Amino acid sequence: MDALNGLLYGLSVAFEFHNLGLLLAGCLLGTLVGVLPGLGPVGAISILLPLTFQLPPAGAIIMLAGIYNGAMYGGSTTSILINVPGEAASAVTCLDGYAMARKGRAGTALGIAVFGSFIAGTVGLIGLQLIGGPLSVLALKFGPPEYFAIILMGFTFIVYLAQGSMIKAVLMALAGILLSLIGLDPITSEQRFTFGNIHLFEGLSVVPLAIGLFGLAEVFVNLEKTAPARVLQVKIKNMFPNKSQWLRARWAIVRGTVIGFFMGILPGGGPVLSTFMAYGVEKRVSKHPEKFGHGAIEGVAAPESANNAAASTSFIPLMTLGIPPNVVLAVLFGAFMIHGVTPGPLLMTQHPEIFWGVIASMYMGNVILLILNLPLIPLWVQVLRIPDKILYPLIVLFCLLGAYSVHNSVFDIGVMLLFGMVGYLLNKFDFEPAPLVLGFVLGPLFEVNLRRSLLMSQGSFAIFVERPIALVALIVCVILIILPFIQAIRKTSRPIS
Amino acid sequence: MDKRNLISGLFFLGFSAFVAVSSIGLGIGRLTNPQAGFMPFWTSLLIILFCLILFGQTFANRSGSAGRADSWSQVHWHKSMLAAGALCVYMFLLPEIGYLAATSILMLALFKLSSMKILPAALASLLTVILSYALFSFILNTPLPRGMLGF
Repeated sequence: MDALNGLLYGLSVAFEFHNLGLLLAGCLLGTLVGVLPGLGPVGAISILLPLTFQLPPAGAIIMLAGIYNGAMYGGSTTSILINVPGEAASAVTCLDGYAMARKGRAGTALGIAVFGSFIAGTVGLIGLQLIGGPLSVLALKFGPPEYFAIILMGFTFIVYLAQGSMIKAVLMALAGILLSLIGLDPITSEQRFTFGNIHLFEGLSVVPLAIGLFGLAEVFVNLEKTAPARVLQVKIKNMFPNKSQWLRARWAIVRGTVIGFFMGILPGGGPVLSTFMAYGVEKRVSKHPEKFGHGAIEGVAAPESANNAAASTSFIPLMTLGIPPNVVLAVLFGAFMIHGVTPGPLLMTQHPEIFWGVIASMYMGNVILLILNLPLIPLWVQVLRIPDKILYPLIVLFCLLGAYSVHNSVFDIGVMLLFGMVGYLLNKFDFEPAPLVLGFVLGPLFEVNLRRSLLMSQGSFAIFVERPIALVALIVCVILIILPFIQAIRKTSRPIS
Repeated sequence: MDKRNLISGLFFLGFSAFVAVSSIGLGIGRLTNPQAGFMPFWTSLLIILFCLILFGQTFANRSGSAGRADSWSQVHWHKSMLAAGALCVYMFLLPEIGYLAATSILMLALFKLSSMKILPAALASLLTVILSYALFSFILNTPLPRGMLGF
């Protein structure tokens, strides 16, 4: 089945009444989850997974994919209006989105976020539909050295693009890697740092860790403030960006889409990393980098486009190779398996109704979210206007339930609480939690591919420069490491005017 | 000098030293055959290296950020600590007395901590707990802890 016929077939599946209803429900729930701080798409998908057990596989996956995409759209609302990311992929949007809102441009920020998301999400889907196959063939040629080098490049990017101290970002990423090593060794199955605790045999779960660092820690930080974080009392107007705003944001949307597109495909990339990269690149190429963090529209357009493009393209490795590239897709992988469907190269031929049905429903979901988001923003704003004295305890409750529901385990509540306190301290000590989460998610892949590469090469690091893809990734790493030094030298050698 | 860098650096040093020593016990192996302790050992050594760089930077900028440590004195951190304490107690109560009772107590404490009066706080905690129980237990079929009271 070619791409066009496949899409037409998929549309016939997605337009079935119950699938349409499930898609709508997924989009609405996802947006609500995205809007509410502390409960991200991972927790939401995990919590709602049991609801889909009675549904046909295609409908179940369509609904869960709708939640994922909805969360990507909804996350920006919270970031822009209360400076708290609704989910991790919207953390970067806080920087300029909130600054725009404080300057009375909340409507424009929300509008450009929605339009950027729609454009990028649609482009990502076109990519998923058209070049998913050829890309998966190329990715199939990746061996451990390539994966190791690409993940190393991801780490280098996150450090290079860190908002604060690069040294602290490196420390966070390394700490994340160490935390990811808790559990059974992936090659020898030996216990590492489990202290005999059965809950640690499978390692720490990323969901309570992320909820703690990004949800609970935010509550702790906000609780101590004498003037708590509030939804800005601004009139949401001018949601349709004007011509000059479009002109300023257009290349940011394009660059964000391209970055998100590729980062979504890479294992360990995904929406969160793509937003950091898109924001960093935008800041670097801007003629006015000093405006970033103070309400630059590009600072909203780029990350919001990137996370939606990445959300779409992250389905490529899952549906063509059977590899979940990020934690949300890992939960979706579980959903596939529960419904008796194995995602991978055979999905397209054995279950075309799922492969094409999900792609078509994501196209439709993008349209639904565009239509829903703009008129419903005032409603989401009302959700956000719940007073702090009610909102924060409710966020804590959602965090508790989100952490608990993943494995129905009180231990995970403890993990969430621990990382809530860690996140609070990181805030006080000027450390960013994002590199830690990245290190945590990429750590196992990083380790396995490094060890496998060394086993393949009999201990020689030359294997990383003998393989062209790995070599290119390493060259990018070296450039990214050298670049700040060159910039620093240029600054110091520049004559004082 | 930013004392926070020294404190956090010392923490990371201690943490990574512990991991490095534990990794030796796991077995580091050789480059030709890396063992379970290989990755944690080298990662913790890298952390130690970057901690030393952080110390170096901090001492080099001794006069740069003297006032930053004052950020601790300007915050009302006791509320955060009380909330964390309430959650710690909750974690132990939850399996013992079940979701409804434990969460009601927790929510009452949190609402009270958010400066709500006792009666509205009690009502709000009851309402949120019952609604969340209905949503998660009945609609989402999440098996919430029942505890000794059976609910």
